[in-house]
Amino acid sequence: MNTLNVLATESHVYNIKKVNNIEEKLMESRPVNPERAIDQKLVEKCQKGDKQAFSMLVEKYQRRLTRLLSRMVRDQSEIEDIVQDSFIKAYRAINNFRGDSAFYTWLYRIGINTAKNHLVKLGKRPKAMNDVEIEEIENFEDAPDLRNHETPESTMMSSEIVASVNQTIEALPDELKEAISLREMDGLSYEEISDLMNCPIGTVRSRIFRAREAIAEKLKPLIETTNKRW
Amino acid sequence: MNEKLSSFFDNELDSTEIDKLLNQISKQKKNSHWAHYQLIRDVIQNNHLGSHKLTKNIIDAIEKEPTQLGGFGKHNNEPRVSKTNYWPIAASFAALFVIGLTALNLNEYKTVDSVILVESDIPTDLINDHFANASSNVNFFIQTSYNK
Repeated sequence: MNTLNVLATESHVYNIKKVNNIEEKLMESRPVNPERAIDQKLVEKCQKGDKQAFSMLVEKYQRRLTRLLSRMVRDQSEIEDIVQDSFIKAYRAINNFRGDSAFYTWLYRIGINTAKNHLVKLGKRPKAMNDVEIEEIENFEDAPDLRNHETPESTMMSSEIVASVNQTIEALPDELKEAISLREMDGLSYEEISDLMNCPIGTVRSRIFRAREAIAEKLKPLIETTNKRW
Repeated sequence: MNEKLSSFFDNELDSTEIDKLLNQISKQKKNSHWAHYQLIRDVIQNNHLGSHKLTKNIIDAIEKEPTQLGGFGKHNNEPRVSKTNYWPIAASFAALFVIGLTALNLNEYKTVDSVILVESDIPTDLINDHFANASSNVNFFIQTSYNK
C-alpha cells in the first residue's frame, strides 16, 4: 500500500478505495503461492531430464541463496563455492523432491546444510548455527544485509546495472512504466492491474512484456561488457 | 514466445500453454530473456545482485552432470495393480501333472507279473540279448512288443 501511495503522489492518480476492494477480493481468490506453482512446473520439467528448466531455477534463486548464506559465511569466495555446491546437490537430488514443501525452502535447507558442513570441515564456526537462527535468516531474508561481501568491482557493476534499469524505466512511456511498476513493485496480478489501469488483461500482458524487453535491451550491452568482470 | 515467457514469469500463463512453452525453451541452446527478467525484478525490488559469473559457473557445472530422470513430480494416488503373470505358474503345474501321469503309467509295466508273462513266451537267449543291448526298460518293452 505504501508504494501505491507513492505512485499516487507521483503523477499517477489512483482510486485507493478501489485498490482496497480489489486487494480484499484477490486475497480470497489468489492462489496461496504463485511462485511455488512456477517452480513446481520447472522442477517437473527438470525431473523429466530438462536441464534448461533447472538453469531457470538457478537464475531465479542464485542471488537469494547467496544473500542467505552470506549471513552464515564471511568469505565471499567461500559463499560462491557453497552456493555452487548447493545447486549441484539440489540437481542431483531433484528426483527426491516431491513438492511437499516449496522448492526454495528445500533449496535453502540444502544450502544451509552445505554451509554448515563446509565450515565444520574448515574448523570454523558458522555465523548462525541453531535452528532458531536459521529460521530468523529465512524469515528476514529481505532485510538488508549488515555486511557487504561484494568486491569493489562487483559493487560497481551492480551499481551500473541498477542505474541503467532505473533510467530505462524512467524513460518508458507512462502506460508501460505504470504496468511494470504495479507488477514488480506492488506484486499485483494482471487482473488487478487491468482493473486499475482500466484496460484488458491482454493489454497488461503486452505492456509488461514490452517494458521488460525495453529494459533488457538496454541491459544487454552492459551485461555483455561486464560479463568478464562481474 | 517471449511474451508467453514473460507471462509465465509472472505465473499468468494458462496451464495448457506452459508445457508447450517450456518444450520450446528446452529446444533452444540458451534463452537469456528469463535471466534478464529475473535481473530486472531483482533490481526493481532492490535485491542483492551478486555475481553474474557465479550463475554461469553453476549452469556450466550442471551441464556436466548426468541428466536426472524419473522423478516424483506428480503423486500417483491410483491403487497399485499387481502385474504378476500367472501363466508360468499354471504351465509348471500342468507340466508336473503330465509327468506324474506318465510316471504312473510306466509303473504299470514294471509289475512282476507282466515281466514273467513276457519271459515265458520268449526264448531265454533272446531275452539275454535284449538285456545286453537295450539301454533302458523302454527299449526293452518296445522291442519285445515289436517281435510279437
